[in-house]
Amino acid sequence: MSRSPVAVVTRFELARTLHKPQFWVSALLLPAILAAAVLVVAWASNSDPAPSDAITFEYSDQSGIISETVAAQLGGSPAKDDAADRAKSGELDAYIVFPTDPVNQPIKIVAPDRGVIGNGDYSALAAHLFTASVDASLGSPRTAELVRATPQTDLQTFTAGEPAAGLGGIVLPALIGVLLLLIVSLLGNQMLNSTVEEKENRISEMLLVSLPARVLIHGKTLALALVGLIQIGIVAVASVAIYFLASSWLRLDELGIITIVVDPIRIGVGLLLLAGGVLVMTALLVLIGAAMPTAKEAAPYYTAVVLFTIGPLYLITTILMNPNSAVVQVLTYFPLTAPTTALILNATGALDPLLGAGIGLGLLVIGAFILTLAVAMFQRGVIHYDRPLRLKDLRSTRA
Amino acid sequence: MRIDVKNFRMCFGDRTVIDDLSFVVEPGETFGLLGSNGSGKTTTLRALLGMWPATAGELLIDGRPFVPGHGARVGYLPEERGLYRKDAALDVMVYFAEIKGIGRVRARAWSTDYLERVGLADKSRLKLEKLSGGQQQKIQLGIAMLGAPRLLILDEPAKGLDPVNRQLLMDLIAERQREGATVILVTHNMDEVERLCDRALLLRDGRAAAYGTISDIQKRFGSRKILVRTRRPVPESELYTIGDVVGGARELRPGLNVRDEEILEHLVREGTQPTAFQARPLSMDEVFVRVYGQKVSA
Repeated sequence: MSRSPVAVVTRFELARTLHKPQFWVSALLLPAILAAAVLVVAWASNSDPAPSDAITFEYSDQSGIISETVAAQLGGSPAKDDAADRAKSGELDAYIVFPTDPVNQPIKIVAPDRGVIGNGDYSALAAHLFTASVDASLGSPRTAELVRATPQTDLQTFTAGEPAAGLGGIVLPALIGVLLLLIVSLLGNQMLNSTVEEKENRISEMLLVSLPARVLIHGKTLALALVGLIQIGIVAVASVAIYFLASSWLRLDELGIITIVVDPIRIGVGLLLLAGGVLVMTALLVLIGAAMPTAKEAAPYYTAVVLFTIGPLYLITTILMNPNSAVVQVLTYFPLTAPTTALILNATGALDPLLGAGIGLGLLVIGAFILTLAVAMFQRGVIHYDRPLRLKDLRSTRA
Repeated sequence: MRIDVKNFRMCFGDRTVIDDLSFVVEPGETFGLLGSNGSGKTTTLRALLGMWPATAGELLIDGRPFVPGHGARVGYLPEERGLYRKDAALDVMVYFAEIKGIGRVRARAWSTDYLERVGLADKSRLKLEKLSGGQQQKIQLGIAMLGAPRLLILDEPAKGLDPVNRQLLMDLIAERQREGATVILVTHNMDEVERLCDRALLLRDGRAAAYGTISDIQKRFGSRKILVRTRRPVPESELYTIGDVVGGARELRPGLNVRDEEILEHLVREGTQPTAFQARPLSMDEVFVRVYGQKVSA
């Protein structure tokens, strides 16, 4: 019993991708980096902080704030005349000069070099001596605590009379945006090569006598989608596994993780935008592959598509702070930048769900149109082995 | 399968590549599509297989325009051909078989048999890029032959093959012929044409320069040549044109409706003292040179 041609193409493309070591390298790279990062953080948070070598220092106080008692407890004493020279020569660990107005003027420190990391101890010591002396001057620990404290607020916001999701509502829609970027980075090159390979290796004519270009492109697109899902699945499963395995090491409870809120409308709009964005990008890369004779010649166009897709990330501050600005509006409606921009706006709740759904549907329509054009280009580009195909070639044989 | 090409014209922009071309390939026939480089052979095949829409005219297979898909039972070995270089030979053959509508089990069995027959059984799991050019050619030919096609179109099938594999190719084509398949053969090798083809079409500048059975075409361009050995130089005459000396014998091309006896009598009468006189039919190679040599000299 023979399969449908689309299924045959999909199966073949999927199988040959899964047999490539490069696929597994790219799929496992992100989880590996994540795991490594978690291990480093876990190791750093679990290991006892290395005790700094005690610093014996001398100080000059022009502000009158520094307490001799506190300074002595920290290993300090008022400076003698040649303190700066002794610090320069290494005989003294540090010489600290507190200016008249330590709030607005820098505290000057002269000390032997301990390396980029070790030098931080000097500033920490000076700052600690200053705040401890201030606390001591206030006389009451409670007063000192109140002076340093930042008042907390408990904000409750509402949307249409219902409590708004707040920060917890951002997590899942933002993850959809991350998925788009993952797909772009992991699959973009494969999308391009899916069609250019047949031309470059002179396979297309042999294929097109047995099946229409439309079936071939659809089969390949479906295979790409499955490869994408598998890669995302690998990343997701690995991330969850790493999360659970490392959660105790990371002391997540101390990090104050936000409670994740499931907002079905924003998630639905996000998924629609993701589908539309992926379709537009896939179709465009397939189109470029169909029009270009070699992967080398297609490379600049591929780079342009990827840059357009990730470009809005460089303007994320503008998108977050001024979602109604002209720049953001252009990015939201231009098909190549729309998916990323709209996903950011959707995640932060700055995109009207109806408008978001409209953009998502629009992207799907545009993607389908580009894919149709890609099919025609592939069909006609079959024999253009030595030069890029132009749009006018689509009608060049007509009288 | 029967092929009907009627008043076919193909233009690319302002350039006309094929102009008013008509021919028929009968079912079960082996048909030679001949012509010099750029004469329009491959364009005609691509239009016949629906890869390019014709500017005008009809190109029909069994009375209908070709549509790729299951059950088409057409095998095509294009001039520009290649394979998935990073995949195993057997996997690629099975893939092509499946897209032709052959079930996976049958596809694997057929491909395995074919690879064994052409001496590549031990290389079936190797990546194609590891095979030599000739070995890859045999895989490509096998893909064209998958599923016992009723129409087999081979564009320069022997290109790059050594004599042994060329013979294997001839055997495979002959096998398809015996099973009643229609074969269209594009080649520059006129020995293959004379050996395999029933009829042929010679394309020149996108037009039919000759069309018919091999002997019809040979007759049209001067049915024969005469090789003579003489003791004295052969004089000019309206009865023939004088050609080159081949193997010590002078080649004469008889004029239209001139009999061999008239030429011999003339040579004797002129005192050339002939010692050998032999009439031979023109080979297709010579016909080809006559048709396309004129173009080169022009």
